[in-house]
Amino acid sequence: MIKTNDVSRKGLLFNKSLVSTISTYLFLILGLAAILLPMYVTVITAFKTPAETAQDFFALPVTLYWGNFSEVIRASNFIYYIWNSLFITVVSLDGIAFIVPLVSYAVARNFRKVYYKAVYFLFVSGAFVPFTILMVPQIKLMSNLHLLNSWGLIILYWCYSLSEGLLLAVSFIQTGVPIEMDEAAYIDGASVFYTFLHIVYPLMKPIIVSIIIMDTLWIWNDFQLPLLMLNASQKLWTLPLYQYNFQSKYTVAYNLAFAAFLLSMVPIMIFYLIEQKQIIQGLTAGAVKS
Amino acid sequence: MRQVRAGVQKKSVNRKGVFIFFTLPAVFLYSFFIVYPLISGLYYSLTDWNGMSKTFHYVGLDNYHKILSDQTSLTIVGRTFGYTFLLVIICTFMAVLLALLLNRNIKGKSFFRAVYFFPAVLSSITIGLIFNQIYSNLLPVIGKTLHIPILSQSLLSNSQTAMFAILLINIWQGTALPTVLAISGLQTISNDILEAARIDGASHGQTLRYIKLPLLMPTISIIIIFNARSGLMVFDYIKATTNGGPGFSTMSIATLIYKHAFTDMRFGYSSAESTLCFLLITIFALLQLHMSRVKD
Repeated sequence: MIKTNDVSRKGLLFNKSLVSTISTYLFLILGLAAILLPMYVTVITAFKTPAETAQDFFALPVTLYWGNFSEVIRASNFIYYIWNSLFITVVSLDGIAFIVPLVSYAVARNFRKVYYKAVYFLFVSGAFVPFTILMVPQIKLMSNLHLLNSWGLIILYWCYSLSEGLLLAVSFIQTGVPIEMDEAAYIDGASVFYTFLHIVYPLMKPIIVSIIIMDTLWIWNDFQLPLLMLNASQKLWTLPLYQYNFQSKYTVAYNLAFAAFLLSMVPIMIFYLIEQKQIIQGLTAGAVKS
Repeated sequence: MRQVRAGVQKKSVNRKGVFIFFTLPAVFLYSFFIVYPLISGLYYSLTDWNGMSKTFHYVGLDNYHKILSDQTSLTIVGRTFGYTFLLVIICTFMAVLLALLLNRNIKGKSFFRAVYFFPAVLSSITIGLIFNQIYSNLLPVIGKTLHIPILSQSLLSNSQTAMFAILLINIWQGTALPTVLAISGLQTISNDILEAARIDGASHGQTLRYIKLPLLMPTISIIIIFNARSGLMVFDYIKATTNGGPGFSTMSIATLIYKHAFTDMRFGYSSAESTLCFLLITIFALLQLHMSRVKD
């Protein structure tokens, strides 16, 4: 009697856990489909001729049709916009990789002093000011200074990067770079800048990598700031701006539109495939801190 | 030894001075390009400047008065808050649910995680534009073949559904980062506690209710803040799809300020809107801070 009861209970438990496992997978796969479906549509449409798409939106392309891509690249100076995006991202990041650690080092080592504390709070409180509030007077200022161009945009990225950058880097130095390292260098006669460049900077590498990854995605993908700064001159468009303007010009030719989206996403997809672990780490660290 | 140390200290006094020069360029850039516009915006909000003309007048609190008595603006603020509320609730729920499921003993965990995170690395404008195409070209075709009236025309051209269609895009991307945050939040819960609960005979539901969720609270509040910020500032998805239309039915705070400042050339007025928005968000942040303190 007891035995059968035990067995039946076991059977029930087994069934229950089986059901929950199956429903778990089912739900997870459903979520997967929800994420991949727009991507699927993008890829197949980019490889189809307009006639094929008109026939059946969801069907796989019969043959891979590369014409949309060559059309996009030929008709729209696509290479030009890639170059603009690359230039702005790389130059911004070069500056960020130097300025943020430099300021963070100075602040972290003098945190007891009023001036450095004030600098810290000045920068960090910027993370709480949404861009919506700043955009109107800021763009006015940039236009008055004749800085509605790539360099103006780069300067703004440098400024904005300080908020989150300092938040992450100062606490990293305070906990991860012992001050004895500096003192040892000073005894050997090193200058402060030399110590920063050759002793502290290498030790900051993990946090600098996180900041760079975070800012790479932010700057490469950013739309609102380039829209305000660069939209007036087509020569200066970045990839997101180009996609935005392309859309309004070719509303009907959606095979071309999807080809353009796919082309624009490829660099970031490759980046994600290679650096997936670092990217996930960097972005989550950034979100948690700020 | 003592001499050496004294020497180091003396030199370090000189050294400390150098640190100032490390900060000066950044402080100058930041003050000039961020702090100064913030303050000048406050001043412009008291004027009737159109952003172009050489002369303009001081009008006191006139702009603020107009905004607060403008029904359209208030509707848009209310809509943005409603949108943010839905976004926060849905994204947080989805993220925690997905994280709980992914935290089980399942195969392909890292594959699922990689795909679920993927939307976070894409440009929001690209995603908005892709969904725009799907809404306007793909869904109507499906709607027509299946004879679903609401899907037969673009969800974005119907003022009843457009904002929800945009919300869906935002959820699609806005769940990605929170899911990964929730996963790492769950992983920090020590196995000892869960083991102890199991030995004490706690059911799955009880473990979830009394152990996992309370310990996940710090992560959940990060997720809420993350999505609240993106909801209140929503701009890219709207620009990519409806540009605020049909009518004003999908205008948000950010797109309204943008329109007034850069399309309608009401520079003083939009500066006042920005300032009010700043006040609103500061109050919001203070409330949140207060609430988290009360909880502690």
